[in-house]
Amino acid sequence: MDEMPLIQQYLQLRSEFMGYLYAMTRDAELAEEIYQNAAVVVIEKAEQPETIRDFRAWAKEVVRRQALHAIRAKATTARHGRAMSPELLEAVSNVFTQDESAGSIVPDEAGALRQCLDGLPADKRELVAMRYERDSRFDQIAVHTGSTAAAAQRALSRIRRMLHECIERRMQLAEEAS
Amino acid sequence: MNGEPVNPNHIENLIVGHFDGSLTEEQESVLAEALATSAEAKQIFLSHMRMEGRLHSLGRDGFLREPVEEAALAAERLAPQPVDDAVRSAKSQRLRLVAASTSLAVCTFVILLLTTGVLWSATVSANSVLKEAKQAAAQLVDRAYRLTLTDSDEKSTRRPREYAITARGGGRFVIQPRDGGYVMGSDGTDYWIARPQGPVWVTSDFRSLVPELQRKIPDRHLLNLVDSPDEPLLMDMSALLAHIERRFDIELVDSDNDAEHHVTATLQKGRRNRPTAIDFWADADSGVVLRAEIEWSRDRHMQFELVESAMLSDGWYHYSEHAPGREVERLDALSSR
Repeated sequence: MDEMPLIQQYLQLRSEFMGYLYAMTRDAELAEEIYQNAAVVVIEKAEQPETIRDFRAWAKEVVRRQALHAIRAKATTARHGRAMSPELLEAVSNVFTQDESAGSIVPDEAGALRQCLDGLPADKRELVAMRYERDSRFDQIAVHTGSTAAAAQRALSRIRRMLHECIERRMQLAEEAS
Repeated sequence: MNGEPVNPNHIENLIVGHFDGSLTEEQESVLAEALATSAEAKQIFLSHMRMEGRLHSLGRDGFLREPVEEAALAAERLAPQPVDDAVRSAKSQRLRLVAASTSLAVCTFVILLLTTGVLWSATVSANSVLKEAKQAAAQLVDRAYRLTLTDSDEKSTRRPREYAITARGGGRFVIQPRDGGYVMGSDGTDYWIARPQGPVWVTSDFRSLVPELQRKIPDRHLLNLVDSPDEPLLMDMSALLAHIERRFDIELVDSDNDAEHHVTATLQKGRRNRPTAIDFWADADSGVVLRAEIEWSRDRHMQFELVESAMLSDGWYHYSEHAPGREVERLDALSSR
């Protein structure tokens, strides 16, 4: 993996980084913007002669710094009502930077998620698409489903938990089989 | 480091609540404490975090609505391949420009596929071009277009009128005629219009703006365009593409230019008060619509040409950016006087 161009290595870590960025910002648009900004740093780094020993750790730090910079610069409070507490921001950042999960877990989980998504009933899948594809707010989803924002939020929370449990189950089965 | 035992169900509820943005300050504090002290809480959080990121990536790249295909996973797995050209290409431009075209992962994935010669040559069609264009148009990127309106009839030929339009998804746009007679826009919530002198008129209901503006603004035709449900004025390109998808038969036009795909769209029979034909040219790599020509009749045309893609601040679409320090009058209030 280390022989791959940096930007390609960076792309392979996209989901991991986007997960962290969303956890930090709870704003898909801002998370994407930070991810792109960090990619610029990666590209610029690739033009420099020195080598990076541990790209994942280095890129994590780049993403973390970009995230903190963006959060300070942008008034996310205005968009989300209340900013995340500094202690939770710090805790999330620490969890991210200290994570030493094996890199192989990422594609395995991706495969499991795919199967779990394919197993979702159409109406639940539509809710997932509305939330993650169109970045719809709960009140917008509620209009579509004829419910309330709170009900839409609860429905999506249940789906998230279902998907997560499904991934865990499949990962466990795969581990037992190997 | 392993800390106190935690109730996994409780922690997972907090984690899901965190991603929903629904936690109270107290709950955030409990979650922060758990993440700082419990290895199990960290693992649950990381696992949810990876899933969240993956769902956002799949959604961003348009893979959620239909059964998830191998292509989506392949984008994540990107095995080492002879991709030097693609990577050099990506490095040669600022990544913001890549972002302005489509999401980074999809764009790079398409470039990689192009270098291996397996995508367009085998699968390109009018539908695939339209789909790519819709995905590109859905990006929350600011795009500046030059709009040219041409109107003529048997008695007279009016000089084409030019406008500069900057638009982003979510209904945000700013439009200004070339002569600078006014500037009009929406920040996604309020619509506003300002002339070089005088107040800024603001309304949250664009349709109610029209009768007021007809008395105040000389360029009524453009306002009629904006107000008509039959007119795809393209406040963002998504509107035009959705319009094409619903109402038109589409066909890919052969072209010698490998950098673009040309699609011509013909109005389905039985439709009235709509453009008779729409042609658009999309960038072959990114799907971004570079220009579009809309024919209403033999004598009436609209042409959009992409001038640039950029990343502007949210505040750029607010009237205060374009008419700073002006008096603000809400047209809703004026209407009810």
